[in-house]
Amino acid sequence: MRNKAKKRPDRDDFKARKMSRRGLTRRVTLFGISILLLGFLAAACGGDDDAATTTVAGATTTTAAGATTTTGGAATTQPTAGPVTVRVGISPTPSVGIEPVLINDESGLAVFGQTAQYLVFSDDELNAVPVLAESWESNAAGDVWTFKIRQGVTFHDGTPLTAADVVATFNGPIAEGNAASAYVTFGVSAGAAVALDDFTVQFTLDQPSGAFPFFVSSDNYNAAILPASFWADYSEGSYAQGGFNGTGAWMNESYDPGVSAVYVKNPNYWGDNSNQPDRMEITFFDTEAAAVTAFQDDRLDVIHGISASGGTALFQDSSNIVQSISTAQHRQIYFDTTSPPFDDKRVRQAMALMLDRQLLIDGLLGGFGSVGNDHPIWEFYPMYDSSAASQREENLAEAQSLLDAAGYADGFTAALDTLAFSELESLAQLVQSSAAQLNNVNLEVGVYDSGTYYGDYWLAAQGSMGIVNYGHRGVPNVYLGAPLLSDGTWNASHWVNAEYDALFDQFVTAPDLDTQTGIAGQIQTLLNDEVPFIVPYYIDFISILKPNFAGLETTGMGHFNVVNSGFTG
Amino acid sequence: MTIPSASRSQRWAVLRRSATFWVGASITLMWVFLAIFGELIAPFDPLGTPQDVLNKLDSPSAEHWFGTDQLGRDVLSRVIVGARQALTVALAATALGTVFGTFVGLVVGYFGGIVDDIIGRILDAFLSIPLVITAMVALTALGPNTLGVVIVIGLVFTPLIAKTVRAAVLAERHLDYVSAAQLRREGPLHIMLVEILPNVTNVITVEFTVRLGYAIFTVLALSFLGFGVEPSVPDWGLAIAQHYGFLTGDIWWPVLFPALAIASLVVGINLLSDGIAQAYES
Amino acid sequence: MTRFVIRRIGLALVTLFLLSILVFVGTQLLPGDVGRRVLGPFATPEAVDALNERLGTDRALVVQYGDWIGNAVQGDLGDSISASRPVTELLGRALRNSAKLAVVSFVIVVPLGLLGGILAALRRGKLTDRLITVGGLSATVIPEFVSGIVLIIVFAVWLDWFPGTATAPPGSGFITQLHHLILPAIPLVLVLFGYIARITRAGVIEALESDYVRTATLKGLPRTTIIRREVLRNALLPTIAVVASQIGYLIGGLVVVEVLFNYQGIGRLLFDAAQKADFPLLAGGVLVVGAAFQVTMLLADISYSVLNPRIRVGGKT
Repeated sequence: MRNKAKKRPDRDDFKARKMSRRGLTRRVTLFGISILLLGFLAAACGGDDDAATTTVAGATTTTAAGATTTTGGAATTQPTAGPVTVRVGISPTPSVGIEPVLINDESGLAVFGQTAQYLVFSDDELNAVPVLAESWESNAAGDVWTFKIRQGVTFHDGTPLTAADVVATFNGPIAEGNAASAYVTFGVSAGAAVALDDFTVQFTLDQPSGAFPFFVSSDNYNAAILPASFWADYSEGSYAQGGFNGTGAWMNESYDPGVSAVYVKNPNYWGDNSNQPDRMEITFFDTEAAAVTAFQDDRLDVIHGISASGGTALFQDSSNIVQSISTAQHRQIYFDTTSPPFDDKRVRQAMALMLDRQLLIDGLLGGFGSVGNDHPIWEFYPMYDSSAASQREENLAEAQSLLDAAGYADGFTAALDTLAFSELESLAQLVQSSAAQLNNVNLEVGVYDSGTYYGDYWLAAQGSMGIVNYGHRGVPNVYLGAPLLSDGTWNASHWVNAEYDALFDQFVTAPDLDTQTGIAGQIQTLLNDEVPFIVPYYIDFISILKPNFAGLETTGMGHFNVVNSGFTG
Repeated sequence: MTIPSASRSQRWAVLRRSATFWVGASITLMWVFLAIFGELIAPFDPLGTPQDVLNKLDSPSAEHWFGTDQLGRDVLSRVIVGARQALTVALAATALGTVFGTFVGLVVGYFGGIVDDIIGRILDAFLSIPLVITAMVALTALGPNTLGVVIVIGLVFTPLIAKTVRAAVLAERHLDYVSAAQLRREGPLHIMLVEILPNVTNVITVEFTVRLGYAIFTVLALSFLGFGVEPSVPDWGLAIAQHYGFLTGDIWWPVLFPALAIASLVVGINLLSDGIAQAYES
Repeated sequence: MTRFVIRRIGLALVTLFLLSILVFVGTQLLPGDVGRRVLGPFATPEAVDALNERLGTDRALVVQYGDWIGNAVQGDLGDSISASRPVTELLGRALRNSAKLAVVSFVIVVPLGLLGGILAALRRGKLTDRLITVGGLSATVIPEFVSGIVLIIVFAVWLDWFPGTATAPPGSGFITQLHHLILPAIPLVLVLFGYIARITRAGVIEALESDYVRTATLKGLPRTTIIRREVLRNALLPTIAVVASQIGYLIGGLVVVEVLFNYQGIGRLLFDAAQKADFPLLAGGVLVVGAAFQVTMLLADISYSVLNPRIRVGGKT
């Protein structure tokens, strides 16, 4: 009686609309992947880089503002009388100051990315799009990469951009192990950047990498190009004190931490910003509920990034535009593989088998997600091997027999720790109640603020489980390195596997996509069998727009761009 | 030692005629009953099953009188069983605070002088930080679990109870029976625990019931702020914290019913303790 | 008199000193280390160690305390970890916001509490008295987030008379701001009403039973005149002390109310600081709150003793 599925018309209607969007995303993504593949091959073979970059650049203009808004950004923009202001809501507030070295969350990089730009942009369709780099090429081995820097670009303070700024950025504090969370753990190690001339920069890698353009892209969110003079005098807080200098289309007018950031159009922007609104106001909200209220009160044109549960109230109003993109963002439910009960592979497999993944997606994400198969190689990545490891489905009987075989027929008790973030607390409770369906398996859920969790629980798991979040990346290298390598710095599972370590090396240095796909298949199979962690699902990135607003571009990492946005009617 | 046995029946006579006492006692007893036998009465399993999530946030209906929460669990069942968490944690914390506070109060009141001055200053400093903030800092340090809440509230109550006990001990200290014991060369510990303590139990009883009300108040405020319980354990403060974000979407049932439960319990306990205090005063 | 004031100030200073130690040690007990907090989960251990060395958090606790209190005395509480801004700047803004909320609450509750207390005393033992005392007591014990939730559901969700958040849109006028602050003020009003009414009632009853009122009544003075001239003046004294002593409670209550109504005040700031283990902000904030509490108590004690000389003898413990 209790489990009968109750349908709500509004939600179904909404799901239907979303499906069409999903379908489109998939098509566009495949298109993007094929372009990436071309670029990848061209670059890896040291071929004609011009061809690769122009096609890639071509792909960008047709991105995001997709299906639900009927037409793409700039086209719907109608010039209105007087200055146009776009009001963006972000939740939660950035966890640290807006600061190239320190930012480490989606909100922080969303703000940072308005004024600062990268050599390359990793867009929502997995393209590496040239930004401050005009083009790039590598040698045949794939271990020396040369970037042509865009000419005619100036920073907000009037200084022109040259190769010296790029070199100072990559050789500066972010590379010195000062902090720079994304940079240090990217899984690629490059020697010092060298300026060949005023507009050419070369990197020499320790090992070949076909994915190197992503290393200097927005994926590596700390590596925004800032003036050499900035890096020379860098200290914490100096980015804010310098008024957010950068090359971006927006210039900062004011910044009130935890409250708001106001921007004006950059009149000297290097790119095409003819349709850019005059002003942008970003308001920060501690809770999604507060952002939702502001949106309902017409104080926001868009909420950039909201969870499915936080946005429930807005989804029910069919006049709001829900813009979602599929991303590689996922949760890892990891096990301490060094001590009982999870040192036995069969116990880990049992835990993976007890989850009804589609139920989790429907119940926790409102359908905004896709199932995972216990490895972090997302189905939309070009190297994903669709033939490896069939999808794991819920099977309680098999789970119980695995536990019986492992000697846990009478169950066990273990901790399940996670952080207070998005739907993680609910997910932990559903894992707990799923486990309770097995004989006497008790999980004790602990939810901590992110600082406490990462400081005291994450890597310290002792005979326990945990759930951690991994944000979107354009390539899976980050997911496959630090969290899985035997000596990986984020290896919360303490999983040690020499076979995997060897596969990872081959994956990173694979000379072409076919080879890489073959290795990816082996990795998928190995991880799916060993289950150092469960990947229950991948999560869509959701934004909500007012019906008269169009042209928001987002990435799965949390960057957003409203340069091509505007109001209709 | 010197509690007149007559006063007990007099107090009972006062209590019997006190309407506030009866109202308070019946509300409190109802919740105590539900705290003990809640699972037997609750219409659904308060912990729910994974599949419940498909029925999440359903509004009150004939099947779910109080609706369902964000994981589709029955709100009525969780409100009923939630009484256990509030009552046990508050009782344990108050008991701990009363034991410590009585001991500190006895020592400070009995010795007086420099001990009184030093401990008094430290207690003053301690008390000038609002309780919730002290508890927040301490719980972040200790780990935000139930045991931590018991210890922190117990420790915070210690100086408050100690102050009251100290005042009562000061009044007793110079009475003849204490001097007599000192002349008999009884040790200070003996005098405090065997001679003085029985004469200040009235004060301690009243203090205990008053503090119990505050403890419930504080326990629930802390669980609302996210300290104290595992997320799946039925807890009123936690239920409010987990669901008040949904109010913007007109989803009020997972929040309103736990709130009303809290209000009725704290009012009940305070009416009860008010009645008892009046009985002791008269 | 002067001796009393000096002694009282001296005691307050000693308490403040002890408070600063408590606060500093307390916030140092928070788990995780500062470098890890600043750099986030994904920074390397080397980076964390380097930052800790630079921030000086690897030094002895006594040295760190000396530094901190030395700067604090000069008005520098360091920089917040989570916002990379001076703590004093963040505290200043939050205190201003909280003050607005506190003023709205006090403006509502003080007249109401006094009126309720006087009414209860004059109708002592009657139904009005029972309603006010039992009602006040019940209102006092209901946690702010409970009354706040009920208020939001009734007045913001169902009736839509008031907004559900306390923060008015930027640039709002006085009326809009007030409109946003009324709902969050009510939970604080409910809690304080019981206290103030109770103390006022006791004061008025005591005054009514005093000799000078009896004399005045015997002299045939009209009842209203007696109440206005004799009773109120004597009964209001203790109320001042009670109102002042509630400052500490008020800040505790603000934490919950500000979290519930998403209001950027001191309570919310301290809550966030505790959540994010922002050591400098938390230590600075708690110190300021404690100091504010001590100063208010000091002023209340002194003014009370000036108005009522009897207390000085009794207060000499």
